[in-house]
This record gives sequence, C-alpha cells and structure tokens, in this order.
Amino acid sequence: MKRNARLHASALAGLLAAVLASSVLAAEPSGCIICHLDEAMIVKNLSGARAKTSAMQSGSG
Amino acid sequence: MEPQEKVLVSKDFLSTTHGEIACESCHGGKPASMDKAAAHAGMDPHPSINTPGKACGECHGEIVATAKDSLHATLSTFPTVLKSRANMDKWGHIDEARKNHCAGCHTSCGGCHVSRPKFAGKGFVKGHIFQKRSDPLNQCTACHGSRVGNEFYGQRGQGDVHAAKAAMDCVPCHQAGEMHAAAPPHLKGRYDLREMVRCTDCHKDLEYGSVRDHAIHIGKVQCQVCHSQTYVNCYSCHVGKDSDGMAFFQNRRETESMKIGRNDDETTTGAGYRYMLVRHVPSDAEMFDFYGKGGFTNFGNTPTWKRASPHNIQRRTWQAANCNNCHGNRGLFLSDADLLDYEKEANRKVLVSDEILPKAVTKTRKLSIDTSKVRTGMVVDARWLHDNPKEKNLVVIDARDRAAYEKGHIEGAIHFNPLESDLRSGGDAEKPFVLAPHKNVAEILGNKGIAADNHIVVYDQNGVLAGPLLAILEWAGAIHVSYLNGGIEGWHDAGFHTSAEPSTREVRPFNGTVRPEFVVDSDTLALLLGKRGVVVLDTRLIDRTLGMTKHEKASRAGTIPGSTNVPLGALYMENGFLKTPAELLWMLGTYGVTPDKTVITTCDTGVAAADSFFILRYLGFPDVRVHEEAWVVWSRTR
Repeated sequence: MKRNARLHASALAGLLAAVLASSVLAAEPSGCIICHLDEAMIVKNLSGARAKTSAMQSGSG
Repeated sequence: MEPQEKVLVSKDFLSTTHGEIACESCHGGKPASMDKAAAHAGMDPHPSINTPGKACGECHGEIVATAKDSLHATLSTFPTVLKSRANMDKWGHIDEARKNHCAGCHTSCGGCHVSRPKFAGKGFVKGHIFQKRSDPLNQCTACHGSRVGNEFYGQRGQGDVHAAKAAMDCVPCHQAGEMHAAAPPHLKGRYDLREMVRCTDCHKDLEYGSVRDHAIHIGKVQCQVCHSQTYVNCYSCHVGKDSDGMAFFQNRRETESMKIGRNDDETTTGAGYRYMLVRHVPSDAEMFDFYGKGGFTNFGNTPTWKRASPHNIQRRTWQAANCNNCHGNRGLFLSDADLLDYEKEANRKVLVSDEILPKAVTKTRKLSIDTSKVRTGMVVDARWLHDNPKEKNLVVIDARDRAAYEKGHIEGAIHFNPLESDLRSGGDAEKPFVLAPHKNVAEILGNKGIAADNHIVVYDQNGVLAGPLLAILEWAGAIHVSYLNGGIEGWHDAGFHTSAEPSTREVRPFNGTVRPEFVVDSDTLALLLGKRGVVVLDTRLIDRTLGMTKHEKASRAGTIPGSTNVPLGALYMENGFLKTPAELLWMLGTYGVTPDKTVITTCDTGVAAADSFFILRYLGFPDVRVHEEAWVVWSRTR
C-alpha cells in the first residue's frame, strides 16, 4: 500500500514537472522563431541554396 | 514562391494553438544556437512524415493511427502494381527506383495542413499556420495538377461543373474520412479503398429519376463515360539520375483524348459496370532500366490503360449529346490500334473488340448544328502547309519563344512572338496590355516583312500565342489569316521535318485598314452588359472567376458581372489541335454562346480573349469583339 502511494506521489511529481516545463516552453518562444520571423536573416542564410529538381526532369508527374 | 517565403513563419502563427508548442517539440534541432548549421543539427523538417505518432499523434492520436497508413502517406498501391509486373528476382532494383522516383510523391499531415507537399516544392502555405481544410491550389492540386488540377479548373477543357457551378473545391468530395483512412494491406488499387468517394454518395437513386438515359445506362457504364470530357494520357516514363546524382523522370509524350474500355474488374466496390473510361499511364517495361534491365518480365499482367475518373465533369458532353456520338463510334472505344507493341498483352482485358462494340442506334434524333458559316480557310493542317510552300503571298510565322524557334521550326517560317513585341502596352503602363496605336502595329508588322494581303499562317505549341497574333493581324487589317491546326506537334506528327536555319523577310509596308469594330473598351462593355443578344465571354480559368486567385496586375479578384465563363482550354486540345467545328459550336451553345449574338471576349490581359476571338471568327460568328482592357484594367477602374 505504502509502495503504491510512493509510486503515485512520484508519478504526480513527474507529471507536475512535465506540465511546468511545457508551460515554460509555451511562455518562451523557441529560439527557432527569432530567425524564422526575420525575412532578411532567412534570405542571408539561404543565399547559395541550389535547385532541388534535376534539369533533366520533363513532363508531368 | 521565393525560397525565404517557404520557411518564413507568420507572427499570427504564434497566437494559434500550434504556435503555443515549442518548435523543437515536433522538429527537434538545437533552438538555443544562433548558428544556422548548429541550430538545424538533428532537425526534422518533415516530422509528420518521419515521426507522425510523436509529432501529431500526441494530440491527434485517433487520426494519426489510420492516416499514417493512408494512401497519401504510403502509396501502398505502387508496390502492388509494380510487383504484379515484376521479375521478383529483380525486386531490389525495382524497389530502389520506386523509392527514388515514385515515393517522393507521398505526403502526410504537414503536406495537407501546413505546407505545400514535398513534391510540389515545399514551403509554408500560410506562414506555418495549420489549416484544418486543405488548400485546393497550394496543396491538393499542387501535386494532383497535371491531371486533376488542370482538368478541374479549366486549364484543359471546360473545367468541372462542381467547381464552375457550385464553387466546390476538393474537400466536399474527398473528406477527412477518405483522406485519413488506412489502406488495407495488399489493396489492389485506390478505387478499392472502402472509404473512396463515389458519385453515387451524393447523386443517389438516379435510375429511378426522370432522366431516361440514366435508367438505360446505370449499371452498364461508369458515370464518367457520359459526363467527362477528354483528358490527358501520358506515355513512356523513364527514370534516371543526372550527373549530380539527382533523380529525375521523363514523361516523353502527352496526348489528350478519351477512350472507353471494358471494366476488367467488376468486383471493385461500386464498379459493377461493363464500360469505363481508361487513361494511359506512362508505364513502360523499360522505365526502370537505369537501375537494372529485365525488371518487368511480367509486364503483361496489368493494364497500362487504367480506369480513369477525370475531374472535368459536365452535365452535358459531346459523346452523350447524341446516341451515335458514342454508339458505333469506333474511335471512342479502346481498340488494338491504340496499343503500342509492348502493351498489347497487358490491355487484352480492357480492349473493346468490334464484336462487342455497342452498335449504332437507328432511331435517334440527329443533332442540328449549322456549320455552314465556318470560315474553313482560317485553319489549315500540316499536310496543306507542307504541300503548298510556294503558295503566292504565303507567310508562315512561328509564334513560340525564340529558344524553341532556334531549336527547330518549319522551314521558311519567321519568328514573331506577339508577347515579346511592342504590339501591346507593357504590364507597368497606366493601361497595361492594351493594343498599341494601329500606326505602330502596322510598322512592326511591316518591319517583319508582313503585308495585309499576304496569306499569313501562324503556329505555336498549343494555340495560346498563335491565336492572339492572328486576332491582332485581323484587327490590323490582314485579310487572309490561318491557324496551323496542331501547331508544331501536328507538324511533327505528320512526319515533316523542321529547320534550325532562321528566316527573315524584307521590310515592306503593311498597308492594312484597321478594323476598330473588333475591339471594345471597358466603357463600351459596361453599356452593353445585360443587353439582349450580347454575351460577355470570360475565358479565364475557373479559379479566377471564383475569386480564388487574381492576376498580379489586377487590383482585386473577381469577375465582370453577368459574364459567362468558358475557359480557353475548352477550345483547344492539349497539343494545339482544335476540336471539330460541330463539337465547338455545340459546346458553346450549351453556355448560350451562339452565332446569333454579339460576343465580347474578355480575360485578364486580353491574350486569351484575343485567342477565343479568333476561334469564334473561325466558327463563323459574325459579331465578335475583344475586350482588350480585360479584367486587369476593369478591376482598377470599376
């Protein structure tokens, strides 16, 4: 009985930690967003990106 | 779409439910780093493809449980068909080719709800905002474009009545239940999916309705046999890798036609009929030879003319306009003559032999279509042009782009692309895309060596450039102009050679008398709107007239009130051939576009309007005019 109670308590603590962690994540925008909202930065980072389709492709898919 | 637009997140996304989830929860990566390479280390751009259970399934578990096995996600019928033809000793090669060339078409949650699918060039549709309903243009037809999209919105043919009349996009028919359904193992084909939409889901109990032909034909023919238009067929796909190791495919030929075949599997749900439309798929016994020869030793096991459900439904169609447009019409039914040597065995079960071809009906009311006014000289064929090169005054114009002309053109043809000339004002002019003054047009034509009394034959790839040039020539005063039916493809099909030697003509005065009655401006059009006996024919695509898209120079999306939409694609076949005058006149008549009326053609920029003007002139319409200002100017001023 005591063992089960301990298990429940630790599970609840884990759940609480996970909820808190996800709340923090939700409150703080991801670092990804800083770049992906900045068009100029993306343009700079994408310069030199090459085409992804072969020039030999022809006809409809 | 510019590369940066593809990955630019909208600020509005942050206030959505999905915007509250940290990016790395779905995509991984190292968000703390401000260095691009370090930040993207371990990042998954397509989590719904690679880890759907984790990325989407935590919240949408019930949907992901089946959607991860859906046809969109797995393309599971591809290996089924390939195995039916395969020498299984070579399956390793075949499956490698499949993964490199076919599997790239699959998509998952993100490709329908967030981004353009991978095959369609990727990129967020709306700044990473999740959309419950898929975007028909950026998502569904971005992949299903060459057949479904082009047919549905009128790039080819009249378009689909569900779009034109009911403004339906893909979702009303293809709902989540079908899209998210798991494909059972060993599913024979997509039509065998239990959740697949069928016409009869909405159109119920037709055999008990008032339409006589439904009572006669239901149970014998697939709905599309009577209600589809012609559609494209692809031939001879081959795959390989280029010198950079990039995979590519080449579909070497596309033709537009319609073929009725025998139903080779009446056990498919809802398919207990005898006849169905069949479309040629670009399978070829050698298509994967790049990976290893002899892979498809059982190629004859599966037809290459497959059941088709073209998305170009019309209530009234040419093949159903009269019993004998179909019955006894040998060319409409798949015959041995339609088959290439290597596919005869494969299609044995879908062929309609002479013995079972439905016989012509003796008691039927003939169609009454007056073709006596057709100006037959306005269209010539390749044979005529080939046999009359020395015809007095003949001028042949290649209206394609210069690169195509230089690669090979009809010998003696001069190059003249009307959109690369100063025949019209530019896109940035105060009034964009309107005709230059007649004096200027005459000078341009004269400098090309064209005179008004020449017999001027124009060709291109598909009519889209030749038609407008022919219309401008007529407006400028040319007295004998002709379109080469089928354009350069028709010339090639007839077996005639081309030349790479450029041709020019001596400058001469054009000497034409302008025909101002062929053109109307927006003020005149506004006065004529709604008048009895006047039809405003809008030749744009259906998505334009529905306001889903707009020309970049137009101030808004929309349509001229009271106009009738018949997309230009309804007048031409895929390769620039024209349908017969009788069929065109009949089809136009179903829209109320008849020769007894004044017809004013319009579009976005005047190009398609001028093109359709020429076709209507050819068909013998006595009073046709082009609204040259078109929607671009109309939208800015009204």
